[in-house]
Amino acid sequence: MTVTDGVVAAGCGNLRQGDIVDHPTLSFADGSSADLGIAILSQTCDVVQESKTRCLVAPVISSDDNVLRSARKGRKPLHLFLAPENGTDPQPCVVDMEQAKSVLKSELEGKPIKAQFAAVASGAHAAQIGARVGRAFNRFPFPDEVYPFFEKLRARVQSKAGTPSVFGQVIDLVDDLRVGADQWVSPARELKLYVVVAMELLLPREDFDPGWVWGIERVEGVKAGETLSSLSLNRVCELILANLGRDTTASSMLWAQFGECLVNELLTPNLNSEVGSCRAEVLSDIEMTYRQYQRTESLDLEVLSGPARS
Amino acid sequence: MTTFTTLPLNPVKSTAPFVVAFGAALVVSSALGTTVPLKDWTSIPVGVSRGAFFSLDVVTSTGPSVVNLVTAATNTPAESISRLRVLSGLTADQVGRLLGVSRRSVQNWVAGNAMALQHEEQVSRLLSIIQSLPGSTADERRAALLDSRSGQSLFQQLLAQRGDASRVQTRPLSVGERIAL
Repeated sequence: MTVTDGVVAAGCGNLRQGDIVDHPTLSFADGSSADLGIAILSQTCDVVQESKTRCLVAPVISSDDNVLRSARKGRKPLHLFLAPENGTDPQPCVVDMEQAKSVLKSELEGKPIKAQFAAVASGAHAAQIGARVGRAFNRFPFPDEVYPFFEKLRARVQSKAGTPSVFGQVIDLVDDLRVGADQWVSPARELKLYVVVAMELLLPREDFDPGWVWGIERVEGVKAGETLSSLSLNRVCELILANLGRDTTASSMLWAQFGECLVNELLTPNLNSEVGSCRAEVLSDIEMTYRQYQRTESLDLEVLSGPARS
Repeated sequence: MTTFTTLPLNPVKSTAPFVVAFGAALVVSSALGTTVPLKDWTSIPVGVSRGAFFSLDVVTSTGPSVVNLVTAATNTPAESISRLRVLSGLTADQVGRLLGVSRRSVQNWVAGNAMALQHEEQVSRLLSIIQSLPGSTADERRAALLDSRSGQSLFQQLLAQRGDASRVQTRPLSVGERIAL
């Protein structure tokens, strides 16, 4: 986080999405003022664009450790978590986007800029801030009826998150979990889970070593008599971790089995009238087509929160 | 060791570790041989121009040697790509990934579309690498390229050297965070 002594320039030409501006007299819908500052929600290009006269802002809210942790984990998508890309000083903060409002850009001119989180306007951290803002508004509305189907997967991750469990470590290696369906509106949906992994971890099948064979010579940590198809989810996670940085063909075979185990152990048991079937495909980031991308959605269980959870 | 070949090229048979240059200087050992620590190697970028002789300076841990290869003065992009595929046994998709283009671009070149100079140079370098692989058949050279016993195969190392565009699409949360909400 960059603390700046600067002030907002004419036309807000020096502001970026995620910047915190000091504007304590600005009031919001609930009657509160923005004593801790306001965050710029508008996209940077819109903020600096001369043709735009208004800018979307929301107040920074007082936040204890629980609020901060909850926002960081995305439990409340409308609570925007802002943190420095590196380091911890100054402290991260939480912005309540539920109170977002637009203000005249001219109203911000000359106000002190308290903090600037995106050090580079077009950098990775700026993209991350933009993605967090976007998540509050652009999540696909998965039907509530589908939520119970993912409960076992969710419970496993919740119980293992933050622990050195092999499952938790392997999930961290997954680039994206995307879900597609033949249709979303009626029961008996046929789901497909796409486990997307970086190509450095998962080779396309045509890149496999043609001389590779399953066995202790080519698979680190495998026991005599163990076969690929017999591996449990926990065991395949152990072997994926044991083979990181080793034989990439072996690693790729293990990832394929990971997808099978994920479905068999954590999803198939929850098949019901709403979800009639579920298959998994583990593929690398260079294998997922744009067409597949368009027809799937990142598995974000917050979007599955139905009335029973709110 | 100095080997001079003319097209049609016979593969340079060697089981000794070798160093090749592709794009940025790339250091590899024989795909079928023992992996040699990178610090034991040096490499020299190769300058290649179409229709000219070029040298691929090969420096091994046991001393330098030079493999002089000849590009086909009359090779069209289509011929170069076809030769590359025939010699290596790689698919159009794999060749495309090595060159940083789509499979369609590779197919377009084979169909007669023009190729940018940078890609011509990359194809020439790739050809020299393929021809330096141990093995006398496409299957053997492909096996050498994809051998992953030591971790990343030579094919993957070539991919890694090519580099990628910077990532601009990002996720607001990790997969673990999203599922554990």
